[in-house]
Amino acid sequence: MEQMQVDESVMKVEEPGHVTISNDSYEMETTTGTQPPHPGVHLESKTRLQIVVKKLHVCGEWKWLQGGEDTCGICRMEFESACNICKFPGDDCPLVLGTCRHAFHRHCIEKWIAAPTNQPKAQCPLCRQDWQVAEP
Amino acid sequence: MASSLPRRILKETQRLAADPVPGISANADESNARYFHVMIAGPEDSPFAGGVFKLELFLPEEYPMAAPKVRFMTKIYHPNIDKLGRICLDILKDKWSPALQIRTVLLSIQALLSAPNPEDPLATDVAEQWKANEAEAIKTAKQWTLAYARKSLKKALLHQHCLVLAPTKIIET
Repeated sequence: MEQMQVDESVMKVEEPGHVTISNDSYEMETTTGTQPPHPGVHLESKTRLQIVVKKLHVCGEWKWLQGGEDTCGICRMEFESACNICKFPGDDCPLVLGTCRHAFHRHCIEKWIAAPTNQPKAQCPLCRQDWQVAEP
Repeated sequence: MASSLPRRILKETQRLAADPVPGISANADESNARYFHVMIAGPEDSPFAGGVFKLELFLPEEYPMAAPKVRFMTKIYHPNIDKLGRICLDILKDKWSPALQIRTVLLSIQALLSAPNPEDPLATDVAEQWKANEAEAIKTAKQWTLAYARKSLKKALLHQHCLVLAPTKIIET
């Protein structure tokens, strides 16, 4: 996996005593005044608010760097999905970028290059230029 | 027998049914998911207007690394389609690319009906006639459409294939 992206949720303090959080999966407790703090992670506050984060739900998302929002032009699956050969996506079947800047699942483009009709030289399935892997 | 059907074929089949191309229907055979029953309506601007042409399309084991095999079942007078229904179209031969799909292949065949190319013939006798006397060739093509492709039209309507046709045109022809 080449790029990791973790969603950040924004926390806004609108007025002392009221805390709004943009992500429902936070479980928070706010206290004002002199109540004893609950166990958990204390957040610093310049107001009288005391914020304790008791539970945090984090979602991760990964993307191939070369792929953009596209699907593989050969198997028609999203780049982040498994190709027609794989059960699961991942480093066994990364994206391969051609000098023409078109990307495909490794298994998909390898199968196309190996096809008997493509000897000695295969062309890019999308633009028909001679297929050559771009230097990383 | 072949292993399970690739997801790509499943996706293509579903999309052909859910979002059909105007004037084209393609339905997978009940017993063979790689065999499709295809109907193409003759384009309005062509001598094949008013006719519906039956084709068979087969996805070989190597698909999408190899082109689908497509053949006209309905008799047609066209310089690039021979007596056996074989089609002379580059993308079905050496210009195949796995980025093409059933939908784009059928669109290309529909376009071939609008633009016969006698310079690259498969049916040489038809191509000769097309080059020598185009008006006469177009007349023959229209006659063949009436004689052979209208029957399929009735059958298509009977079986309620999802062809998108202008109803007035059906009554007229």
